[in-house]
Amino acid sequence: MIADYNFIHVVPPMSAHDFVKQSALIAQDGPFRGEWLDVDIYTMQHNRYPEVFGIGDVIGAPINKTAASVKAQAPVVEANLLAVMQGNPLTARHNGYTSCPLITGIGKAMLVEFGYEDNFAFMPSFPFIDPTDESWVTWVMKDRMLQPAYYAVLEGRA
Amino acid sequence: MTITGSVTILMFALAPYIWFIVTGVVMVVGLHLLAYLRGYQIAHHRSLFAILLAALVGLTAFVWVPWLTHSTLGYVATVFDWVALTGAAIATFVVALIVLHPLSYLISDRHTD
Repeated sequence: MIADYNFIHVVPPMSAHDFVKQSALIAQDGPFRGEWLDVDIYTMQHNRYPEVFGIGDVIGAPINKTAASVKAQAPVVEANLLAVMQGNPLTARHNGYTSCPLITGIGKAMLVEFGYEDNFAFMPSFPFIDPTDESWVTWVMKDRMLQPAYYAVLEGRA
Repeated sequence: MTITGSVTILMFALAPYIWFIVTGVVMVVGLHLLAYLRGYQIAHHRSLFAILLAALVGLTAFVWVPWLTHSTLGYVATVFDWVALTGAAIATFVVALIVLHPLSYLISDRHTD
């Protein structure tokens, strides 16, 4: 296949872990069938097993394979898990927030933040950062600042 | 991303350089202490040379700060980029002045030693 492009973002094949794919928790139909955990993308609750919740890369969601999403999903899962355990209705909802610092060259990047609403409309955290602008500050954040935070999350320090 | 989240990210990014920052602060405090012991007072010491040199050092930040971050001044494009870089230059000026002002007193012949 040959196609013209101005900007290309190559996403390798990916799916949930095999032990999830081989379990009954996997999506049985829809776009995530056989590949991802079957959850409500707003409440994070499993669509067929209400005592099961999903978070992070494993869930079947149209976006959200980012650390920013996991950070936004964690309080939703916590609140709704407690609600289920206490027999209360689920009130916490994930708005799909995700953040993608896109490197557009060595020394510049774009901070693209968006969510589920309005067909994945931009959700800029700071009004003074335009998600469509290439920026040096965004590059500094991506290149120098985020990696230590990623490792802190992986090591359970953040 | 929240303000709190941004501060958290900043703290983790700065963590490996804490020793460097602490060392710098200790050296500056030591310099000021030495100068004070020799009669230095911030409000009374006038040094145009220290101010001009500090301003010059601050201006150089517009070149070396982007370079230090593996970028170039040409990629400093948005208003926020310029605000951030100008802030870095002002911070560099202030730090340089904090060092150069007492230093200029110590190397001048006006102190009683």
